[in-house]
Amino acid sequence: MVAPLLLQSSLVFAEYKLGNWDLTTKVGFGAQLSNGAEGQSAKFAEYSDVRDSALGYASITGEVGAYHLGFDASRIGLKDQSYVLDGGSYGTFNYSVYYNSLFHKFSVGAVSLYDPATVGTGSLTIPSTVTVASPETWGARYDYTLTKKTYGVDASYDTGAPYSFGLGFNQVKEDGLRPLGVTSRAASTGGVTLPEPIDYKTNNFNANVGYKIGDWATNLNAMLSKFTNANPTLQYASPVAGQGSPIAYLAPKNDYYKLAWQNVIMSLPLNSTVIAKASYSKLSNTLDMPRSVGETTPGTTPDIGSFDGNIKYATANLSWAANPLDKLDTKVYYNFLRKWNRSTQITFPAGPSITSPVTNALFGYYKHNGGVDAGYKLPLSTRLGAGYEHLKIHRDRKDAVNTRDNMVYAELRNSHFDIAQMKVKYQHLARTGDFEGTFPGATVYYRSVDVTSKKQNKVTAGFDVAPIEHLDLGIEYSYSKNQYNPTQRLYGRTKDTVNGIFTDISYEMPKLFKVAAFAGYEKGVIDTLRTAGNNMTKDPALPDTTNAFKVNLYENNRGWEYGLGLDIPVIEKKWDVSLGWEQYRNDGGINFNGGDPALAVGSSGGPRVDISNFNDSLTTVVRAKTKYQFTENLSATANYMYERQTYSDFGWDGYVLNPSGMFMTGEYSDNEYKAHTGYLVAEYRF
Amino acid sequence: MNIGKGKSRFLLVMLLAGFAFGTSSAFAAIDQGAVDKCKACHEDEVTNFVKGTHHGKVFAAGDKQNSCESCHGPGEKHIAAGGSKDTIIGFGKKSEQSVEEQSKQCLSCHAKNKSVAMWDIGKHKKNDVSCASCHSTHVEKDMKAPENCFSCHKDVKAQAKRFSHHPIIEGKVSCSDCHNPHGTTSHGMIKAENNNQLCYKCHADKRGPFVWEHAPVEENCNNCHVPHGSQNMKLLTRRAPYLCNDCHSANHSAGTTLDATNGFKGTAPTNKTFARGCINCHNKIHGSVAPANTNDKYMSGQYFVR
Repeated sequence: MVAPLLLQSSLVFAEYKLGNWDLTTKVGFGAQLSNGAEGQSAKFAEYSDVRDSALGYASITGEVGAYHLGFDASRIGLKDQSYVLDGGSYGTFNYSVYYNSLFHKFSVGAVSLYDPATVGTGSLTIPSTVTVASPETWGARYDYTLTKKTYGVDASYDTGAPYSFGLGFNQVKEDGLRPLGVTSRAASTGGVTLPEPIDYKTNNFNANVGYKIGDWATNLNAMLSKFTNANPTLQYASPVAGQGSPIAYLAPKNDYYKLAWQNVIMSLPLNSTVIAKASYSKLSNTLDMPRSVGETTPGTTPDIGSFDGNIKYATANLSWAANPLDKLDTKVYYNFLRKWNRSTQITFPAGPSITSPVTNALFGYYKHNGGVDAGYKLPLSTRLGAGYEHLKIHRDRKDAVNTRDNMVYAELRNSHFDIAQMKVKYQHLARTGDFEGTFPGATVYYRSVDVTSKKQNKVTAGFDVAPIEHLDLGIEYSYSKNQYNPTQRLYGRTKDTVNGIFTDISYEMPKLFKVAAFAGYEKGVIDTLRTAGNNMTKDPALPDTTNAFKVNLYENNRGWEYGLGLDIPVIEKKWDVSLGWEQYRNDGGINFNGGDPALAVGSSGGPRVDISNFNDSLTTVVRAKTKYQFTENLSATANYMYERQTYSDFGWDGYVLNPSGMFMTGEYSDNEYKAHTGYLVAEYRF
Repeated sequence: MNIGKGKSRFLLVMLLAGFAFGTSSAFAAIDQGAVDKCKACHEDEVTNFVKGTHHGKVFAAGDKQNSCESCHGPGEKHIAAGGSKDTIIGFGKKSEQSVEEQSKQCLSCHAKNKSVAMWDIGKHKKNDVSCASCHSTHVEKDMKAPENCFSCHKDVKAQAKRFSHHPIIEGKVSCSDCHNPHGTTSHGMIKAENNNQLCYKCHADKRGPFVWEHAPVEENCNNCHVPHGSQNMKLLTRRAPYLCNDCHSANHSAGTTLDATNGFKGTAPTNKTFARGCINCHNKIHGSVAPANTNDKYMSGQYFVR
């Protein structure tokens, strides 16, 4: 969250002439300081390189007639630096050359039992000095971080008519370490967290050609993307005795291409526009198909040599937007999407652990989606809108072949008064699905939340008002409720609701101050029906019996955010001061109801114990910033920020590295921090 | 600096080449005479405008048709009426003109831009969003700043500041990286035919093809993730294991409804609730290319454990 305050605006004001060029330039240089929270928590400056370091940025924009040029460099030399050079001629051609580095911390100070020299490689070994059950002997210390660097160039030629061309290429390199969880093979008790070496490279190329004449424009786009992973596997010495050195399979390489066509015809009868689009894409790879993963009890894998991944997508769209009457606007649309999976299908013979033959399912689907929208202008700048949409999904999936969504909505907007705008919308969705807890081979009574029947109601409303000059107030409310198949009693999610209200207000006394405040609150509740002891095989419509009691699970999350900001031009155009305070809070929990009261609380089948800390977090940010303009060209900015985050969750309380036969590394356990940061930058504009 | 010297030189050469290129002038200086009439009353606006982004392309030398009146329409009546708003085309909330009329002025020049080709079909037009609702015609504005969108999409602003979020407020992902605010035929005005095609642009490692696909993952990333931000780590819609239990109720933890006794400090601790829950072992949840092992299911790609 620290980053926005460290980002420098690229807006420029001063200008001078260089030959024919009309230039505006600024250069900033200074230093950033942190009290050392870096290294304590990944959540502090999760996406930003905040450490004691120099800080620099620069930008240049220039114009000569229609030609324009810009260069922007931010956070020079840091892990989140970026550079963009763009230019061209208005209405003729444009180009852009860019470099961007994205930095993402997952966890810092991880501890692992593996040999530090092997962390980051494709083969992890355990030193002889390590006792796997004694984390104090584990010697590897490292951070889970990823850095994604993108280099690219784009160019386009477009004079408006008739032909236009565009080319682009970029390469994305991603490297670092990410936590990877695998099973330890200690029955169901254990898992091992491995430092997964990330060394990805993606080359993306796209080209497009367009033709435009009058009100007709068509465009053909081609895209090629090639993803490679320098570490396709990760072999690791199992910390469980006798389990050898199994292999984990990492992200597979792939080649992707796509052809897309787009056609727009405007100014048709009824003041309408027609859009037709289609695309075809293919995703493929060829991977060595190993006969085992290096385990001590290998399975029987057919000797097929390689797996050929072959997935194709086709999409089509036809849309028609019209204004048949001056006060009436309409839209009719249809979307189609088809996925074919023609990859290699492999059948693995049955074994003692999985007693039936196993064949990888080739998942494909198609989606038909169509709808109609209409809006009518009523008196007093009021617009009444309504629409209907249908979505059918057909899947190659034995448990949930079809779902059909029918959605209707109505909305009302008013902007009659100069000082106020309002909107309110209601939406109802009815989903019917084949999946109702019974399908061939099913022996249980549960639902899959993504494909089961449901009814959904949504309401959104907004109101913006500016009752007096320089005072703005906005408020937005949203409500959503999903009721899952209420006519059939099944285990699983039964309903969920979300209520949210968000508001902001600002008031400005020009040349004196501007004060702004925001506040938001959202409450989400999820109700789930589960069991205590019966493996979902008992019809939930039947009464509870010993060791087969139903349990109701009520999960709730409440989130707040609020803040104040004050901007004071102490000396107009000379000295500005900005102050701010913000808090973000989440408070969650789960209440249970049910379980066999004859059994001990918390025992299998017995009443459940409520969870009181569930994603509880509180983040506080206090900031102060001042800028002094020494001369027309020279200014200095000083910024200070205090940030603190607390976190509590039942799944992390009492965290240890090797609980119950597991071998963890501290991944994602470092969410709390308290930090002071600041920067001082001198900026020169010329 | 982490970029190599070769790339630094390349950027420098491109910068210098850019300056060298623009030696001719399709448009010359501002028609100061035409502007002065407006400046007499609107000095700040004109001053800001001259320093903004529009002057190079709008003002043609000596061509009065390309002056303030290019966008605001003829000003004679406005001057004669003493500056009343209904005699001049204005932009923004206080404009006397309809949203359509305002946008029409902008589109008279910008309609040829490919990014606005589907403006007529988009939700913003339908919802009375004008060009001036987001763009500043006089003062240069950072259009990648999320605040441009947050002023209307207050719920998204709240999500973007939650415990787990894409780096939107950090400035590393902009709204327009995923959405085309000028209109698309896709839901949510995203820049792809569906959610997965959009997400795979950056997350190429999740594309597959996999030997073992996780169907809900491949059908819609949003089955499990909230793209703007969530109180649950990894942008999840619900915390594991309860998210997983939404479909896999009958598997694994079926007989035991996991509760406070199952954490590290509980009386019956289990790896199903520790830390990342199911993901502690089933980390290859987006798909696996490991073979099945019917002799040892804990080593089988079928269950996304390697």
